[in-house]
Amino acid sequence: MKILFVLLLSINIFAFDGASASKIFDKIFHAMIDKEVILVYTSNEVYKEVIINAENLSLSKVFKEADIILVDSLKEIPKGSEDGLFFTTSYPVLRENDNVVGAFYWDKGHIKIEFLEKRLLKKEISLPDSFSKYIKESL
Amino acid sequence: MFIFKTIRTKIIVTIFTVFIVSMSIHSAYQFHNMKVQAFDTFKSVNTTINTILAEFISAYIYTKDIKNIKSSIDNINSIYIKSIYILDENSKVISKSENASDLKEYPRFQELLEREDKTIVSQDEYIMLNTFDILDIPIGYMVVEADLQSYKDQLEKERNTHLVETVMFSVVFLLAAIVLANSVSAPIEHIVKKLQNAEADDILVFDKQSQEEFQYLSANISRSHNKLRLSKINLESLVQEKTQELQDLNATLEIKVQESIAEAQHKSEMLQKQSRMAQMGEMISMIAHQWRQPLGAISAVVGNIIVQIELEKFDLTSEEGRTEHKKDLMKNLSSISSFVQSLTTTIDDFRNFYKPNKQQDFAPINDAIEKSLKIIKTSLVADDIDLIEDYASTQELYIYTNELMQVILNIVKNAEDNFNEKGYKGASISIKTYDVLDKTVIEIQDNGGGIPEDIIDNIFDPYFSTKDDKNGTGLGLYMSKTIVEEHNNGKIFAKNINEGVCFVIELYTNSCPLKFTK
Repeated sequence: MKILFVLLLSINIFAFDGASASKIFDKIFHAMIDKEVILVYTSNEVYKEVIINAENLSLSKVFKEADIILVDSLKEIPKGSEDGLFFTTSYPVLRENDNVVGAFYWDKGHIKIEFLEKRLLKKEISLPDSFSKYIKESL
Repeated sequence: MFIFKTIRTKIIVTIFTVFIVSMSIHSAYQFHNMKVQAFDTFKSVNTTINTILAEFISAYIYTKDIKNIKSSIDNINSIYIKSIYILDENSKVISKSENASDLKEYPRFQELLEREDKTIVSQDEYIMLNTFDILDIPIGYMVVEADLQSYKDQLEKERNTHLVETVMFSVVFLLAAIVLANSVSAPIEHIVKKLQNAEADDILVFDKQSQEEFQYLSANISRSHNKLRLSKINLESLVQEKTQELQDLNATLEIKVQESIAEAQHKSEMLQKQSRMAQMGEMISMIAHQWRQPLGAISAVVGNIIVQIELEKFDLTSEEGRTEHKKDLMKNLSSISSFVQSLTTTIDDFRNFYKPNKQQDFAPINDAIEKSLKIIKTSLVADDIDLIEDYASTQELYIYTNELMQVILNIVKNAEDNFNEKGYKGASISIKTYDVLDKTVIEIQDNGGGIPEDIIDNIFDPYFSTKDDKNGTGLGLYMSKTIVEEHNNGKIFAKNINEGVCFVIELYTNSCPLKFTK
């Protein structure tokens, strides 16, 4: 039963189109970091595939070497990575962890991309003008 | 261009035409606006639905949540939407509304994608393509096929409503036009009818009109008609009066004409008489002049006889003396007789001249001229005036000889008087005759200086004279003109030549004998 649940969950997660997701993350991360190839760390298997398939993103095996850490849940946050730059695909993670500067998630039918202004300032990240509509002062 | 028989028809047709044209333009404009508005509404509804769907199902599309996509699009309940297709980023149909066709790929996707407004609009279809994207990265598409039937039905409904309204308004306007036309034309028709039925002698009175304009018009027409009626009556009376006068005048006209002719004839005779009297005076002067020489000679002969007797030139006691005296006396008496004969001849010449011609002579013109000159020649010689005669005319023609002589004498005497007045030396008068085709011409010219150009046209007028009162009556040339034109069927005129004036008399040789009217 447990195996079936995990299988169903994974099917659900894998339902989004990987190619589109790679392009989306490529665009978001390059807006945050001014580098040609950005090293991304994630422990999430689904997003590992997404990062690998992204054109200018590279999957980092070690979070300390990564430019950005992508997490889908709080438990995916590696220990000792408090100073790292976090991006999440979960609203609760964004809400709970102050190190997470932004999130890309969906709520019912709505797609949402959000950045928190103070956290961006803290990490000295300035986003391009095309992203300004996604920047919020607070949650 | 239409011509309307009555004002009523013109008003009705004009108002109705203006209404129909205005209504048509208004309806066309309204319908166009309505069409645009309806389509805008239709487009707006479709756009709104598109926007809402795009907002609410984009996540389902991203996550390929077919169940929720299907549920969402099935919830759209609009009369404007016929079918909805949801396509993935590879344009494969992943969901569709209930009434949509069963397709794996939307056939016109590429055509829609290439269009700038992502819309296909025609008379029969209205298809919109909406792209779901995240950060401008397409994650899927939605094709909405609009239901144009509802739009068409709405238009049809509006069109019918407009048509009904137009017909209703047309009827109302037609009735209004008829009422208006009646109200405008009724007073005019009343006036026209009255005028048609009115006789010229009727006193015209119109019914009281409501409008000031018609009051003014009817009052004016009435006034004018009545004035005309009065004028007609007056005119008829005047015509009657004048007709009577004319009839009376007609009755006495013949008498008056006869009186006038008689008066004119009398005046003419008086003029002739005056002229003749004047000429007679001149003739007496000429006779006296011609008689002077023979009378002087007679006087001299008689004086000689007296002297011989007183001086006892002949011895009457002797036979020889008596014979010589007798011979001398006979010689002197013969001279006296000869001189008396000359005086008699002169008298005869003048008497013939004053004897009015009863009939025309058929003779050469030269005879009349020579006879005239015979009368005046002595006077001309005495005044030392050369007379040059050149008679080339040989034609015989009908003339009143004495009348023509009077003309010749008038002209020659005038020339002589002019020379005497001015004391001319080397004066000459030239007379010549010649024939030209059907006429004989007499030219009498002098070297007396001519006639001033400003009066040359007046010299033939009656009582026009350049001589002093004692010598001129102003009738000579007038009578000459009358004689030449009326009695001898000719023409007379004067023209200035180098040194003097030339009088030209033209007489027609082929003319029949004229009846002498004197």
